[in-house]
Amino acid sequence: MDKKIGVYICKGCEIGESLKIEALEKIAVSQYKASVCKSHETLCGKEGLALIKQDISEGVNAVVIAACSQRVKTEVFQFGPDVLLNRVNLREQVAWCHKPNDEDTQMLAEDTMRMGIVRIQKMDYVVPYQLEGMVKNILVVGGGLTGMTAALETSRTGYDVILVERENTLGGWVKKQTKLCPTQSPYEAIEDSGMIEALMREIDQASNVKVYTSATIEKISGAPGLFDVTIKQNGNSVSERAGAVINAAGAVPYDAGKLGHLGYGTSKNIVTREQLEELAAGGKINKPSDGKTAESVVFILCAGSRDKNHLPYCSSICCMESLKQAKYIRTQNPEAKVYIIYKDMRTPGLYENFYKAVQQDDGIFFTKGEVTAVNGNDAAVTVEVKNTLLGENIKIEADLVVLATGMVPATALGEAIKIVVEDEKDKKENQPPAPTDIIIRSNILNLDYRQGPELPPLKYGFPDSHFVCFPYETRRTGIYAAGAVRSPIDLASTMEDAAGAALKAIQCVEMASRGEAVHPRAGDRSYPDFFMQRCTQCKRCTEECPFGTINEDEKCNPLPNLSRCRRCGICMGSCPERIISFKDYSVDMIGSMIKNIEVPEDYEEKPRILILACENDAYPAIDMAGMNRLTYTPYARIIPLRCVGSTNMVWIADALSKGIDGVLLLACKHGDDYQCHMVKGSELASYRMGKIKETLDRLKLESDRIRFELVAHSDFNKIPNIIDSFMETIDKVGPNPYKGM
Amino acid sequence: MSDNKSILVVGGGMSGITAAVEAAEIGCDVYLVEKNPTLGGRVAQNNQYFPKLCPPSCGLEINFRRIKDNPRIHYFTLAEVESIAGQEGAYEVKIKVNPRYVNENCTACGDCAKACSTEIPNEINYGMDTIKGAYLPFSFAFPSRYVISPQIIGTPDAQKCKDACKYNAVDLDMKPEIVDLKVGAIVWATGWQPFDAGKVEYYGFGKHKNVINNVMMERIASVNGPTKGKIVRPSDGKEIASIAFVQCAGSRDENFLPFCSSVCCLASLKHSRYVREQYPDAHIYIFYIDIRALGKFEDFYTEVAKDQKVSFIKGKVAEITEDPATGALTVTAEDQLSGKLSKETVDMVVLATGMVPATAQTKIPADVSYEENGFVLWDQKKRGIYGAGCVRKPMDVAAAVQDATAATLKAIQSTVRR
Amino acid sequence: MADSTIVKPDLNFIKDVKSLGGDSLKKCFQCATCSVVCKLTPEEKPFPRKEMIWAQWGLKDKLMQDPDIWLCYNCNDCSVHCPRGAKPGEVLAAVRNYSFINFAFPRLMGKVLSQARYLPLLFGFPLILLWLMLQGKTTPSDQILFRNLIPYELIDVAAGIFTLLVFVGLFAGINRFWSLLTQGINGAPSLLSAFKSYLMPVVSKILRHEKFNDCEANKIRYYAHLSIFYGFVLCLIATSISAGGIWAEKLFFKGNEFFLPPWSLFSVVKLTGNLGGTAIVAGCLLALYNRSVNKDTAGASTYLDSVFTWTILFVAITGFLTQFARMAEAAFWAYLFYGIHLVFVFYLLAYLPYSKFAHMIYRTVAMIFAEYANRKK
Repeated sequence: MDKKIGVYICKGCEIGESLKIEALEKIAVSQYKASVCKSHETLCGKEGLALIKQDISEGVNAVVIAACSQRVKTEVFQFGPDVLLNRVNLREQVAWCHKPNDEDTQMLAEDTMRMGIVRIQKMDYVVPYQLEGMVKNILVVGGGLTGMTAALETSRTGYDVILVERENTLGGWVKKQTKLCPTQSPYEAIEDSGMIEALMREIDQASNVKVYTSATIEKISGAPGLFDVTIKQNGNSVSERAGAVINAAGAVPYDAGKLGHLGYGTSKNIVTREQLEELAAGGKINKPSDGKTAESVVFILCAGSRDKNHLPYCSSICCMESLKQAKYIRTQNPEAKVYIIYKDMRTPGLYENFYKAVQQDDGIFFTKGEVTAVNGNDAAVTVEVKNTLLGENIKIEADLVVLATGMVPATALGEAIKIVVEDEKDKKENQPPAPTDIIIRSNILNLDYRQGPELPPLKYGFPDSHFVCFPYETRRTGIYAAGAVRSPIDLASTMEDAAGAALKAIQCVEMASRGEAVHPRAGDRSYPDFFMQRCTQCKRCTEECPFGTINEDEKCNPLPNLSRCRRCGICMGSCPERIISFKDYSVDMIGSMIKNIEVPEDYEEKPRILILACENDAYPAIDMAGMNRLTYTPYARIIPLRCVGSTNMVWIADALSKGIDGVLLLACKHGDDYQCHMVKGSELASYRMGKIKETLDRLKLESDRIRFELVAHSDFNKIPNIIDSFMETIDKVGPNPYKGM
Repeated sequence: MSDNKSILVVGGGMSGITAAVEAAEIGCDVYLVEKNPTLGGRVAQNNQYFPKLCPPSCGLEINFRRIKDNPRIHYFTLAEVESIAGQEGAYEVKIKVNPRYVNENCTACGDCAKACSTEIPNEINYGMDTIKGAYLPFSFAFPSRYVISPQIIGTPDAQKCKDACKYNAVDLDMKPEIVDLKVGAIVWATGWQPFDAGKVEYYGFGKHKNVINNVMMERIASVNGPTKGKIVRPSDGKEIASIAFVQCAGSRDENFLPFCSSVCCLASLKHSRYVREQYPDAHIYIFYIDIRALGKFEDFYTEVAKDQKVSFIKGKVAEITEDPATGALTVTAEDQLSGKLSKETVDMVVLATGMVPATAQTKIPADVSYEENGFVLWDQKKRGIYGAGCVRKPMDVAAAVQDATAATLKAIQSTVRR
Repeated sequence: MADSTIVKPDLNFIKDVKSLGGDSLKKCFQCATCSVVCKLTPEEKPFPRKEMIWAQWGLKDKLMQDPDIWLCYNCNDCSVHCPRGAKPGEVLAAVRNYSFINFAFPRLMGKVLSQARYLPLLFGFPLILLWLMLQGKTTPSDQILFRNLIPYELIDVAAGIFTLLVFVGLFAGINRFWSLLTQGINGAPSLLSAFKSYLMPVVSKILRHEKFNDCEANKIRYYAHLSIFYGFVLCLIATSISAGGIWAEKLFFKGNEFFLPPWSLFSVVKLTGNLGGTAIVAGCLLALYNRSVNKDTAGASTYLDSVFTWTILFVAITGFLTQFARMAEAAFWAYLFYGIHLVFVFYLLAYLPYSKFAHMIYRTVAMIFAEYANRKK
């Protein structure tokens, strides 16, 4: 389709007062041959919009709006899928933060116009991908409380489910519990297992839930909408196709064998939470050593949890579970004395009611304390506790000691592997390899992915999300973790979590079927094209994609799975051959924008710096600096990026060879508390910049010309200082020697 | 335009926004109703989230973009639900949209605010400072449109605002409007209110100027807050050398809120980090009953506990006295591990006040079950209207998002059941 | 960890404390609000938080030798502010009740006094005693003179015997208490020498009611107690003068009516006695009113509390009734009320070591110990 570009410049909101609009129009018409270029006092008003729409009806199919930031008036400037649209920010980033009617401000506006028009010139119409054979059913791996709930919630919403459980019956951990901690308001009483049985019954009756018990996942390949699943059941392999996957593999108790310091193994009468549950299931809770009634029972909470030598985290449920088990003992034997030694009693929210209810029992004694010793043998055990609330150190003679062991996610169990690309060049130059995920071979999903067989875990093996706002973020598109596998979690929250994950899985299959990306670029229909003829099989894209989108064939050619793609463009940034492009976002597009910045030869007057800014955080922060009328150097040219991780090194080269004096990347925080919504984008950009700095040094170009700064969304007040101090550095370094060449 | 397959979401905070976008991205039509002029709710007033210490506006930016990009989401600000009739799968809802006095022509240029001379108490900053009678609640506000406070309507200032606007965006004659909607299910996510610490006499909240609550602390630490992010004493703007955090200020207390508010421990731990960032030597005291940092949040607690100048004292503060001359405060608790009374004199006290569900006060105008504190129940027998987030139980942001996602699925089920 | 104590909770102790008015004790979750809001708590060793956990754990021995439970005046500031409704004030009161029942000598008496079912027996005993004394008497018909019904000598002899018993009982009880208090303290004084050294400052504190006055939640109780306390002191003075007069007549001023009752209404004895009686009645009514109206702050009434309050009230009321009947020259009624009065007086005084009344003595002992412990520092 031929592009007919219309450029529309708004004069409202101080733009008209501070800029020479005719000069901007001239650039559009003369320099860039826009078919139409018009200006209006209020482009977003009825008249202004009518103006644009009129032109569209007369054939304009690519619209550049040079007005306010792309973040505002989005609902107004919408012209349908057949019209390309680009916004040029003359308000927040020009008129509002720079001197009006100033030569430098005008030059900034002109460059911004140039970049904006070039961008749309390089843009193409997005046609969503069409994939054959897409399905909308959901595979749930794990048939415990999480898995059963996820399966049922999915089924109730009208989607088919495949439920795979390792054991020969559904139910998982909860089914092994004699009774359950309260799951319902007022959260006071222990519940029987009726709830679990009801779930099992409903699954049994649901026509759209297919259950595989005694079954494991041998392999999952494919992508959202197209997952090919091989299920191994009783030695046979069954193939199924699923649209999305929920990993509900649950957790296992922490290995009590490591709790020797709490006496585990020294006496039969020192048991774990799980063992106590088994005793309770057998009827009367007696001393395992001699079968006599346990008259004095000590619960040691945080046994192995909140302990830097074991599980540093809190296992969340042990307080509640111990309260429940204390009641088991007291209900059976009204003469029994039960001691609960806690670090902090953690019964959050309305679970406080349960704590309160159990406290009422005469024979249950609570104290905060640190267990210093558990001594004994099968005949007798004593527990010594210090820092108690009783005002002294105490010693308790116990018939039975229960260690409230914590939980370890199933995903944490297995060999940790790191799939690294052997880059000969890097090796020679002693470069560190690109940061990649560690994968734990936990034998749950067995993904047939280039990036490893399981979900990449975060700390302690939980494949959870690192985002407060987006707890269902996943680094393997279409595969959602839920329940205890994702975080130590109580029963009621487990069920909510399962329902939430079910929604996300359903959402994923729906969006994938429409060719849309899921969070964070939800709804984006663009996708990466690989120009395979030029591929050198360097494997960078396959390795660096944070979402595991790309597989490889035997010859190391990338095999993209489009419905796994999150459209961040990190692959595009990683590719040294620049063969990866989106219709509306490409190496060439940004490179051309950079090349169209006019760089005056005379540095003293007019240095130039390029700012590549994350469009979700740094770019809004710069906007807000403008809204707050903060000012900074007008020599900076700002380009928003989908993710700073999509920065291709060639852009830096383009900028420097063009004579631009410095490049500033404004990215999100990376590291342990990363804020990059593309997970690894910022980190990868930082890694690449580290490499380019060395290259610059070799070329006798000062590495100070490249700076990588972390900017949060709320840092608008720091923006002027960040930009200006980079400008100062550039001033010190001096003009780019390539200027004018 | 609305029908029985669409979903009404009430409350435009984190839970409501989540419910709206999650449903819309599946393919449902969603109506989002928010009583304030902007979306974002309580989180928009927070400085940072625990444990990452990242700004809430970052996630809001993404969510606002999801709303802007999704034609299936229809939102109303300054709006409340008047009535709900019907049942699961077929509700008829009346929405009352209150006047903003600024129409869609607004470009957020700010000329009206410049023209307005009246300052009104800034509710976003819990009244700690004032704001113009015509204002944009936040720089990142969505919708990015000014509001004219009803407090200046009828004054010459209102006319000045109108005269200053070049875009014909100020409409002083706006009247409340009623919008009728048909929806199949409702997600109720009206969030929470901070507990009124003034009810606990012995803390002197509202009496001693340097006793503040935790939501005020968020504003004080925010760069767009009343002190531009500098943590100083409210009484005299002085820098602080010491600060005490009083946990369970009203929570876990049968006289006030019998439940645990779940987030206050972590909020105070987070606040201790705010203080430490600005004051490397300040003494920080955290008085607690139990530190409740569940799951991986424990890491955050461990991290804070490494700070030599953060003292954790197991004992609830039940007395705060003020030295009227200096504004200094003396907090008293029993340090239970030493078995002695601990009296610390500090510059400032932050009360870790808890969450009161919005539904304790304002009930849903329909047949919905609540527990005794006003939290909404998911009642198997009354399907169709689902509480989400902190109207269901006290929870942190991530949990609220999860909960809202779960509630949304239930709502969708209600629309497909018939 | 050499210095650790083996804990042995006593479930029966928990049950007993619960039944003696501390039924909320298990609700405590150790926040220590109580220790802070308490106006009487010492900074170095605050209460009642630690007493609460000891009680919850059934650590009877620790509480029995804890003087701090006696430093509490049950003003209920703690109970009002307690976030869990654990009512530490009442738990401590219950523990105190338990304590004098526990220290009672003979122990049986403690049990008997603490249980409602023995009440008829306890009143029956003085009634029988009265009946015995009245053997062979008919109602005197001339001037109403109570000595005509029962000679004062007889009453005084009986009083003397029972006073002796009371003293023995009390001494044995507080001696048990004292030895527990001083257990493990090297060079602790004996009960008697401690009394010698510290009684005066303690009595002065008691007379001033200074600690009691610090309470905020329950001011009414302060006034009620003050009223009853001084009413009782006044009545004691009046009775002493009266008894002194009788014995003075008998020994030195034979036949001198000046020394013998009935006295004029405006005599010192009568004025003191009536004032005291009025104060007692007022105080008791105030206390009962407070308990019925301000249930939250005043605390619940236990059996021991109620019996004690009502007994004092009846002593005062029957005293007044006797006086009025005599003045109205209604002989039958006068003698009847007098008899009843004697029975209540007997109940109040003879069972003193085992009833709620014992709190006076145990508290004094605890205060003496506190005085000693403070000075020792």
